[in-house]
Amino acid sequence: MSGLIVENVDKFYGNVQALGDISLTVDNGQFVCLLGPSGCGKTSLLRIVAGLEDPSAGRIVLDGADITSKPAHKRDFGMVFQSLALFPHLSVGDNIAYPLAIRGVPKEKRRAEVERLLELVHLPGKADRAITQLSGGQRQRVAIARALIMQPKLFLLDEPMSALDAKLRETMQVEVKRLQRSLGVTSLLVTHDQREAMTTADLVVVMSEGKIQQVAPPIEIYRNPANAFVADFIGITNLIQGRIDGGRFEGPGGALTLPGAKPGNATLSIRPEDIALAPQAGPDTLTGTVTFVRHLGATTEISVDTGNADEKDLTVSLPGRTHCPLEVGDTAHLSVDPAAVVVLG
Amino acid sequence: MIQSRPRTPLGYLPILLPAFALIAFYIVPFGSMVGMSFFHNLGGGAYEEVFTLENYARLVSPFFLSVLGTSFEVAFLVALFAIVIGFPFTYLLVNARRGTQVFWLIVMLSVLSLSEAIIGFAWSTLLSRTAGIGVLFEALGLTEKAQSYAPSLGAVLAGVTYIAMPYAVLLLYPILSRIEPDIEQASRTLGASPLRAFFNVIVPMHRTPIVVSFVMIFVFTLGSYLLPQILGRPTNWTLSVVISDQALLQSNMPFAAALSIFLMTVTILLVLLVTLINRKGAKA
Repeated sequence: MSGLIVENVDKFYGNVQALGDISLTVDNGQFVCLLGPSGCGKTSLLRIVAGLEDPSAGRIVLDGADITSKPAHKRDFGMVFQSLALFPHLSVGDNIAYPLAIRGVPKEKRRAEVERLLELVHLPGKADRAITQLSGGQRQRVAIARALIMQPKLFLLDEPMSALDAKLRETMQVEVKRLQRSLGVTSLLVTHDQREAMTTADLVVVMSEGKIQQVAPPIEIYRNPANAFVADFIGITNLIQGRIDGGRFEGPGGALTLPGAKPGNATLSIRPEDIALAPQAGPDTLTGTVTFVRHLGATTEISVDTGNADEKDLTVSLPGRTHCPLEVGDTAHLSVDPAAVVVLG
Repeated sequence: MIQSRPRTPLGYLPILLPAFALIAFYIVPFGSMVGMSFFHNLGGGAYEEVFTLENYARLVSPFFLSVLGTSFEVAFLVALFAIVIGFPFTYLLVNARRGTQVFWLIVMLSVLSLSEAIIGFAWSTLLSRTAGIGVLFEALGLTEKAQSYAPSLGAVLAGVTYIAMPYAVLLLYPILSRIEPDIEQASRTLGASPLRAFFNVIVPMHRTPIVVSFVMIFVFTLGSYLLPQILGRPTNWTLSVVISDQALLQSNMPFAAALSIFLMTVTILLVLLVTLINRKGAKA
């Protein structure tokens, strides 16, 4: 058994349950993202894996050994904190070398290792700088180098990019992913930013209210959401409630042919880009009134009121250069590719 | 800052009272003390108003050097104990629950509200042969016979440290309460046990506030006057005790004034040092 196994982990803070029966397997070399809104328990799970908090129940197993009660400082993991938690009184080099100094590695060797890591995070020759002399992005790299110098069995990242501005964040995400791939280190990243999860992860774990909602590769999460929460949380989607009977879905605004769909009440999830405009009403179209048109350049977004539940208009996203003859108040006929429709129970 | 000067001389009237108070109650007595320190002592409370440096020359006599030594020793050790005990205590305190924090801060403030005389006599009772910890040690079999631990240098140190402790905690509390918990946790994930994280990261991170607090307590303790008399032998007396002895019992005002000026100069130099360290710390 190699890799990290989280087994039936519960976590309570007083009477409040933060995690409920979490089980998860991370193979060696994999990059796994814990993705969810704030308060979903993703950070608690990461901290339990790191050994900074004890689970109320359940086990953490690493490479076949139970490490549930092993203290954090004996786990040999590298962790990057949201605040980075760099030591202000130490130079860049001494920060990075801290794990080596703790373990009594001689100075010469430390120096060489620090240079190697600085090279790796594209900060060569900055070992003698003070932390305060570095920019936000550079500090980020120092924190990553410090977490990786021990060649940890597990690389943990707790929303480390959330303090950076949008552009730098995207650059760092790509860089973290490249670094992880070249080192082959098993990694666990916590984020609420789905772009970050999509960029970095081999496997995305979507969490909500202390429970795992879905575990799948990024594109799978987007194309085949397991439930309405995942469909709604990842990207933009249209949720349409209705009834399936004999391979046909009947809902607000019209009907759709869905061959082989299970009969009964159902919610459909349809991505805005999977909806197209139809010239006229047909047997497989939804019809409604245009309530808003947004020309965003790359795409044109049209909101259509089909009488959907909760007064939620359908969002249609057309490629930017597609001619859009519709204006607010017009009647729109929408056609949907049945293969792109996800039927949620 | 708003800069508007009064348009008429009458506009300066409101500052007359504080200016007068400052001159009458601070600058005049201080000036007379400076003057007094250069006068020649005639004995029996009388002195001659001639300029002499003999009072300052007496400072370097073996006796006063030893008094100076004692003063600095007491102040240094008390500052050291107060920081060595106070820093870990405050660190634990800021990490404790809110209720616990409030409780201990109230305890610390209550200690400050006690009269120094009461503290002194409480300690001398506590360290006495008949009613103190000596009895407890005897009962526990630690010592054969109960003995007295006061007066002694140890008793002075215990008493003064007891008073200095709340200052140490109150000086360090606002600084330590600003530490991010991430810092300690980061050092743990990097391989440091909680104890090593404390000594390796938390303490060196706070070098500047530790040094500043140390000097503040040192200065504060340098003026301790009552406790060395209650808890110490004459050999444990500090400069302040000797000053009052010279002024009140020996009636040698010029020499007492010279001693006071000296004590004040040392204090001012130390405060300047703290300001310097602080400024350097703020820049880093």
